[in-house]
Amino acid sequence: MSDANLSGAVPIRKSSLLEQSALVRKRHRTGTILRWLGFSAITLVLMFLAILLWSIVSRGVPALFQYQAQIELYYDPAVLNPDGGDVSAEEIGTINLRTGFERGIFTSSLRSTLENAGIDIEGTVSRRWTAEAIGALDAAGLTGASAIIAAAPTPADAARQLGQAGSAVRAAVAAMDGDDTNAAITARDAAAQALNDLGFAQAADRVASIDPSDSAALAETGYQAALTDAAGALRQPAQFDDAALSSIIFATNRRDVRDQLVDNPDLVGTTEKTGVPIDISVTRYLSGELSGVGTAQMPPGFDIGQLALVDAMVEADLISNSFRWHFFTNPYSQSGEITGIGPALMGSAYMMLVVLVFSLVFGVAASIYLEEFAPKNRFTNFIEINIANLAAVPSIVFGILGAAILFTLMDLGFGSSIRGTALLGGLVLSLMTLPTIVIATRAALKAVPPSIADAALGVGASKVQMVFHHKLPLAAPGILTGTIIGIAQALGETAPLLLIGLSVSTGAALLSSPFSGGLLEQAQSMPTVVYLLAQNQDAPVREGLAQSAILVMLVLLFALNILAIILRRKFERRW
Amino acid sequence: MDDLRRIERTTDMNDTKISAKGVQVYYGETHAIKDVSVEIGDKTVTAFIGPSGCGKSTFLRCLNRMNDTIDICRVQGSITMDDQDIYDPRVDPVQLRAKVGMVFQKPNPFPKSIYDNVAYGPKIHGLARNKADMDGIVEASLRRAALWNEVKDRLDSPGTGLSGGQQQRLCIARAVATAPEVLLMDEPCSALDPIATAQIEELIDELRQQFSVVIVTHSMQQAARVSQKTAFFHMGHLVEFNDTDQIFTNPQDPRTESYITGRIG
Amino acid sequence: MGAFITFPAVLLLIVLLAIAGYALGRRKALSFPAQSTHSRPHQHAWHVVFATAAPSLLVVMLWLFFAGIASNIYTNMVTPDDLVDVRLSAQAREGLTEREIDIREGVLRTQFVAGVRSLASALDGYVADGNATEADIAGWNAEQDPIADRLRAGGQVLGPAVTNGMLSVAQVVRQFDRRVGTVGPIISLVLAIAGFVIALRRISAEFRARVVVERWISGFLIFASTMAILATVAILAALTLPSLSFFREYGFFNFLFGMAWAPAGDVVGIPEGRDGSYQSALGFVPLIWGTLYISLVALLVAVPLGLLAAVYLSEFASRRARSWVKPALEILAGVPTIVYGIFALITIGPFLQAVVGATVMPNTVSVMTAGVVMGMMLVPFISSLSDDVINAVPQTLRDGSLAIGATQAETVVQVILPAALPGIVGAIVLAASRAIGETMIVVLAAGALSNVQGIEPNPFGAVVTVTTRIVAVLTGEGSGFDSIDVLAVFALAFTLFFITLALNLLAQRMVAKYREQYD
Repeated sequence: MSDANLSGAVPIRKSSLLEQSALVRKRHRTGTILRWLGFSAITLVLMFLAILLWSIVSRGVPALFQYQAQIELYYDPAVLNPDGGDVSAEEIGTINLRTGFERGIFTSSLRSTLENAGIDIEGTVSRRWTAEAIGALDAAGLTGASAIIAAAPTPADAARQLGQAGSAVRAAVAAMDGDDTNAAITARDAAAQALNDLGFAQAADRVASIDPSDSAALAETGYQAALTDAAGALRQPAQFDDAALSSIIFATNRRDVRDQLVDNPDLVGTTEKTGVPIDISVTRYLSGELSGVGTAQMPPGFDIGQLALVDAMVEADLISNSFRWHFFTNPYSQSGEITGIGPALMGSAYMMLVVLVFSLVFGVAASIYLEEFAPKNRFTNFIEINIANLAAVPSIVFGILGAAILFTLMDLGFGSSIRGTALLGGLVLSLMTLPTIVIATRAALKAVPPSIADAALGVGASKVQMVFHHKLPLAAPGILTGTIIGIAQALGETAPLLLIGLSVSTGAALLSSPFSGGLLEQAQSMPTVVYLLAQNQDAPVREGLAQSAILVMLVLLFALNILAIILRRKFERRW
Repeated sequence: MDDLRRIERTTDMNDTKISAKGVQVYYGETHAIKDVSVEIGDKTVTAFIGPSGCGKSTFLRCLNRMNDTIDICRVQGSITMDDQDIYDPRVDPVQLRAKVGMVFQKPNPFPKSIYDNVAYGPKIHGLARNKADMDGIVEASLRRAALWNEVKDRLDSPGTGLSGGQQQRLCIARAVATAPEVLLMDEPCSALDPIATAQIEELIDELRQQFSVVIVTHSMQQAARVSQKTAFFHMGHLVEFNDTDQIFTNPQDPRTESYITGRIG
Repeated sequence: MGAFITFPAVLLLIVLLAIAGYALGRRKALSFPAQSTHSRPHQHAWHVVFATAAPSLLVVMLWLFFAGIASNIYTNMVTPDDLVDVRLSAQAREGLTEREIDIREGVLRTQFVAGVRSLASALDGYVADGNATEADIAGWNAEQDPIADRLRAGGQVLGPAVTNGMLSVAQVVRQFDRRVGTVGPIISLVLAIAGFVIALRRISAEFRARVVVERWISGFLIFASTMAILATVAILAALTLPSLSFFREYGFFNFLFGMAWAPAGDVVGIPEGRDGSYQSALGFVPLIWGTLYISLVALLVAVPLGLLAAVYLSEFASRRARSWVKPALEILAGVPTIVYGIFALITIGPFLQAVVGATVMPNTVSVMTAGVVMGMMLVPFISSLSDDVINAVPQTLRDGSLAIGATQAETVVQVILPAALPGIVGAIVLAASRAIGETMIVVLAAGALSNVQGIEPNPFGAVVTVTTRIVAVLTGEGSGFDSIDVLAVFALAFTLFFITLALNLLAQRMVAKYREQYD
């Protein structure tokens, strides 16, 4: 051991333990940084989770409530049967949804309801538009407009006068842009004169004093825009027709009302006090989402005349906000007012049933074979590799498999009716869930101590008896937990279902009865309906109801997971 | 103290390096070390012996505060090194452990090259100013661990590729590379074959020239071979602490005698 | 008698027979003196149940499946070649080559066969509902009667308009279907009865019923475990066959190195261009670019966050903190990807746009929108895998490092992470495979252009990915394998499958190797 004779190569330092050296302080600082980085990473991720959940809850919960107009709905025989006399169920079935229902029953009922409540429809609308016009003029400094509009015989006359003045100003701007100074002066004076004639003396003076070559100064006054806008606003009330009135409420495509009448023709001629959903765009106004947004920034399709009426209805207590029960029973529809997740819940339940039966039976059987009976050879090794890989195959590949099976079966003559059935969807999801269940079951079987198997075999049980009588019951809680987790995963899978046509199955059969369907009928499912809602044309549906549907789905998922946790806690056995 | 000095014969440097007084260790509810007081001399090999579960390893781990890494472990009493309380709140365990190195039961080389294994300590403690310095430290440490001749041609190969005995010597080299004053060894030979054990034992004797060595062992023969002082632990108590010769030839306590003669263990 | 032998009725009979078999088998076995029997009575009983139900139910299932196929083939056979429905008019033939005529007539024929089959089932339903008798239908004439309207009014679902050709072929096919629908149930019923009788007669004191029953069970277990292989084979077949015909038609390298993706709805076999090429441009490059770009962003988000989180949780966090944070991360991992997609679309996208401005980011959908959210989705995946890997590093290495006087952080960075590196890289590779195969997030948040040229370098620009295209083409009324664009989508899935398969195998090997090291 002469190697050890090398003292001095490493100098022994004498230093006090009680004081930290600068180097150690620096090293600890580096450590603190790592610690903080880790802490911030987790905080960031948890914040993301919080924001995610908050964005769902804060949008999804309010969307579960719906504004409804309380209307005296009169099933007017005059509308339903223009020829007079009784109408048969069959005749009702052929009435045009648009003219007969939307334009007919709903509009006239809404009108009479409003009038009964003491709301002057035309007056309310034109007052709001007049106020709008005055506001526009005031903003441009054209004061005293209310007297001018009041002085005109009709709002239309006032609109014409204002429009003419606006044109005069525009002509003046154009002329002052040109090279001809005389023409510019003439046009300017004409504009000033027009303003003066209307009664805007101050504005007229201002226009008259503008340098004829300075068209920009005239444009800057904003008179032209204000006058044109005001004229436009004053013309609006005349265009407020039945269509505008009825589009406050959801009166389009009321197939449901027609079906109700077909089933119950006695309703014709009666009046029913009922809540009719407010149009989904108007809902945004009611929920205050658009408060503080100027008219110009309003989304397209908004008519402030409608909003004036809505305000009046709120004042008259004709609008209520109630829970959207029908969301849980209705089928999916393009119209946010009546859309729902009823068949989707049923379809998902059917599919989970298929997954449960198929993947539990086959998964457990496969696990028992691999864990207990399989000889260790190439074949079983190959099965193991296959299962491990299936667990990591992207879900869309399973969807492609489903689509290929679908196309092949269709080619083979099964007809397109198998597209989007719960059975096909369930089978595809089962294949995806199989590896999860196999892995969980094998772990559960492994956890049963070999002593139990030895004991059973020792008293003369056959291997099959040992497995089915002793191991399987002891492994059952673990298998169950794995199955529930697998089903929870399958419940949220979207891509494979889209590919086998669940998103398009919104057939007539589904529309007529919310809970129809079976394993062999076209189905809807929660994730695909969430997808459809998220692609809807109306922002309130995309941002509101889609979140409500997600909320329902997440509640189901959490319930399943909590069930799994409870089972695990309750039956957990330590050997 | 004076008594202790008088009976030490085989060592020439008899200063006390570490002094423990009334040490109690709890693991949660379990009282693992009960009122242990012991003095460990400089440049001496001290052996802790006793049946398994007697607390000897636990006590060893108190000496470089490795027990700090276990959440539920509490240490009471005082342990001083060069008259400084190592459990003083101002003491940084990181600095302490640089002075009190440790070698474990199972060889645990890092999955790095032999060179990097040895250089790890000096690097983090900033002991080398440059590459040449570091090369010097690595070579000196490997020589001190009697491993240099076997590995000098393959310093870049992974430390995990060595044999068990070599790995353990690599771990010793790694521990001495930080220039510790005390070297703690927790059953360093239990995972090794007899030849490797003999090499390590020889090495321990060499290391005594420079360090204070504390070795935990379950082998009484080993304790007798390598140590000058021996402490016998039983059920968390320090039963007897004396010169190795005394312990093995003339035990004072009946329990020590029972253990040495093989009646308990 | 034919009317009563239907599959539901036969299924019921088989079940009843099996129950009877159980009772009878048990009774017969009980009549033996107990000492002399090898097997218990209930084992004899189960033996009868299996022998009765298993073969007959198998036949029922196979018959249901193959009857449809056989009927389709039969329909094709009985459709005359000169039927006006399946021939191109002379006008339509003009300027077409023989091959093109063949292909188009093939399409007509397929449509005709499908129409006949839907008509046949509609007629069946119409008669079953009692709306008409067979004699009525025999007298129908498609040229005069509004057959389609009549059937629809009766609640039947129907394809295209009904012609007399369809009507006559449909009548022949219905005859065939009726025969097939009667023979199948009879065969399965005979099998059930035979199994029942033979099994009952085999029961004797010496008969080893338990062995036989256990053989049935083992057989089922083996069959079940081959499901995984069947699934893999099915996936491979489903992807390979259409992909190969696509590569043959379009050219493998044209696909792989094509810089544009612009499907035009071309029919398989009929290139629309004069030079024999398709109008559809079906190049892989822009799509895989989008996929890889988003995956890269996702990994740049997920890897640092996931690793730091794992290190913090396994090395620094208190037990309490761990017990709260880990379930929270599990929640994040359990959220369906469509939820992430919608969140990206309506929250993250507008937020990013507000931050970077509309000039840089014209749409709310972009690489970053999808990538950031996908990254967040992958964080729990990476952190839990890394956590496992870090915890698998033996405690002795930690102790060794700490005992030298390393700080906790130095131990983590210089000893534990290098030791865990193969496992961590394996986790990252798995995460990459997930990112590449992820669908719903990119469908909703990456962009939905149907035509793309070249690659989009702007991280705030919209891209199209492999999975987006698959969903876009196969969602909705996809018509089957007759469009080159549909075949191309299968080729996309084929490539996607092999990329992810390679990554998965790589990751599995790395993790397995890593585990070997410390086992």
